[in-house]
Amino acid sequence: LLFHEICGHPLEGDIVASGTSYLGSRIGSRVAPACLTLRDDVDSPRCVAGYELDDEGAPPATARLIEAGVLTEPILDAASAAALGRNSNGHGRRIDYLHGAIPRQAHTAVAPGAGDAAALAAGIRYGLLVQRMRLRHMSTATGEFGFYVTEGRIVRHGEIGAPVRECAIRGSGLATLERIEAVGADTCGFFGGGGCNKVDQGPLFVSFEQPSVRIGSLRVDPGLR
Amino acid sequence: VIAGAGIELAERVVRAAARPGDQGVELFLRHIEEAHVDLVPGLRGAATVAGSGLTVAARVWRHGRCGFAAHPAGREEEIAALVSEARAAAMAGGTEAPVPVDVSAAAAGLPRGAELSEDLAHQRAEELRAGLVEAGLPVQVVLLRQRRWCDTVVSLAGVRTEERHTLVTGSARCETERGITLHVVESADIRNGWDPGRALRHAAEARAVIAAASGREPDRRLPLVLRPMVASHLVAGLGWMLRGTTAAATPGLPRAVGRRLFPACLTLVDDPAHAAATLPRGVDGEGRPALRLELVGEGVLRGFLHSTASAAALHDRPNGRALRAAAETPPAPAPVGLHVCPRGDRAPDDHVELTTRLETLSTMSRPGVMNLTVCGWEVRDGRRAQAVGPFDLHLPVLAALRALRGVGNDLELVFEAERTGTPSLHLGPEAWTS
Repeated sequence: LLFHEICGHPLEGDIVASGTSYLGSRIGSRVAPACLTLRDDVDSPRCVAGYELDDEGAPPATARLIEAGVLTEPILDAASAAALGRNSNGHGRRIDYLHGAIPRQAHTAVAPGAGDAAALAAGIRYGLLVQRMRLRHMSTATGEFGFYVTEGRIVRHGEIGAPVRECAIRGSGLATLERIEAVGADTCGFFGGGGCNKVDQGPLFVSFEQPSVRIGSLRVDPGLR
Repeated sequence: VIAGAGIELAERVVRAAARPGDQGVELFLRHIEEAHVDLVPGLRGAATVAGSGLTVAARVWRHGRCGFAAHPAGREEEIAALVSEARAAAMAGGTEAPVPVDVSAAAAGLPRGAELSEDLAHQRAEELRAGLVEAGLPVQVVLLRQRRWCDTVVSLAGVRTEERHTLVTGSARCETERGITLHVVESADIRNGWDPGRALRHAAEARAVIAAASGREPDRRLPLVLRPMVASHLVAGLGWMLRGTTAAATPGLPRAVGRRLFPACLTLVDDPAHAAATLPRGVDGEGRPALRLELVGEGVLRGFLHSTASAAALHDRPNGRALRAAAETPPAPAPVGLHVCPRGDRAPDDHVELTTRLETLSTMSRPGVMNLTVCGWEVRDGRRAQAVGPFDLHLPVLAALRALRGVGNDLELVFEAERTGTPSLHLGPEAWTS
């Protein structure tokens, strides 16, 4: 969900073309360490709601959003591809017959690295292991985001400990990408149960796959419950 | 199949599809026409989509259990099959929901709604975009939705209602340097009554406060004045708590009926005929008349919004608030014209005035607790001294409204908060820590 929100939406072609994406002008630049590769991959075996043709009749290609830390390409339908001087990568989706196709994510996937959550926690003096969260806000223009942490555990001296009460995490998209320290290999698939509701067109069922990811720091707000 | 003949068709199907042992059979038909325009300024273009469809929902009661089924449908035999599907669901266990009885036999339909217009939809969307840009806001997308629909309810118990609506909604999402602002215009007719003035006034207000805001925290020793754009979310939160389904899950609320829960300056009414309402209703989704309800009268909790099922759960009487958020969902209690009655109380000289809410995905982070990102002004001696925010405002709904000290006379219907109407609300400083 984190990467769907802070990278996926700001890299949707209509938002990039609108000039209101904090990532739009950084395509081709390094935004994260080389350990991060992020794709929207309809062909992944973990993809829950895949498709053979998008809702404009184009076959979906893997959208290489971030390759080894470098912002690479947006998620495109025909109109946004034309506006950006690119070719559609088959992500034009319609929620029903009463809505036009717009660029949508289908399966946001972080490529695996090495180790698991316990291995990534080693060396952390004081931290938070986030196991479940839901979106509070996301600004595609500034990259500012917030999530409610509904399930998490304290990490002390490398040991995963007691559960935490519900709290919130917040941060800036760019700073968060820069502060990624490690990506694990314990990949799991997730189904976005509530669906994606971009511009009031939802729920569009989407899925994610991701191993554990260690981020150097984020603001944790215990008061934001 | 349906246009102009929904009631007759539904009655025929209900009579033919009823079987011995059925305690109740109900059909709900929604025939909808829509014309949408999506304007994405960055793409320098707009997408227009128009279409129409019929969705039918059936409920069948057997052995005290209710089965529900809903599908898009086109032919009479498909509708009859839906009744069989609902019966099978009831026999498989269904849900506990009593048969609506003592329902009005018929309700007069509202006049047929205004015609849709794709050309005007384009024009309205563009006008809204241009107005927001002129106000200084970066517009990411404008969505113009025109809907005209007819709801028909027919049942074995004698319900026979048909009601027509038209609703035009223009909503714009603006990405500012401090966060997202959302601006909504609504009208029952795209030709007459379309007035973006309220939305553009708030857009200019949002632009001004965002430009002046530096993230400064407010002085939390001061009383709070919530202007309608912020107060409406708190009132909508109270409306959610006063739904029969919420009350049934919150035992303390039913016990508080008849008691003074809030200061006497709070009167909360749900009135489908409220003058500013853009979506008037004569009947609810079970065919029961939707009459004016006083939910809170001078601080005293009077009652809840009820469907047949939620009323039964609280041993109360249904009151015509069984609404269907979508044709494919069973009816559930919801308000139809919720608003706080204005009074004209004077705001204190020194206060924190909150004028603008920045968009977050949800406003209620936990049941009963509003969580808003807001900005506004610190007011000293009746004058705006400096901008404050954006900052997070946490307001437990009941506790915050117990801190109500006054209610203004600037009643406004806020489309951005589920069409909730409220004037400014004045809260004592204890609301900060409630």
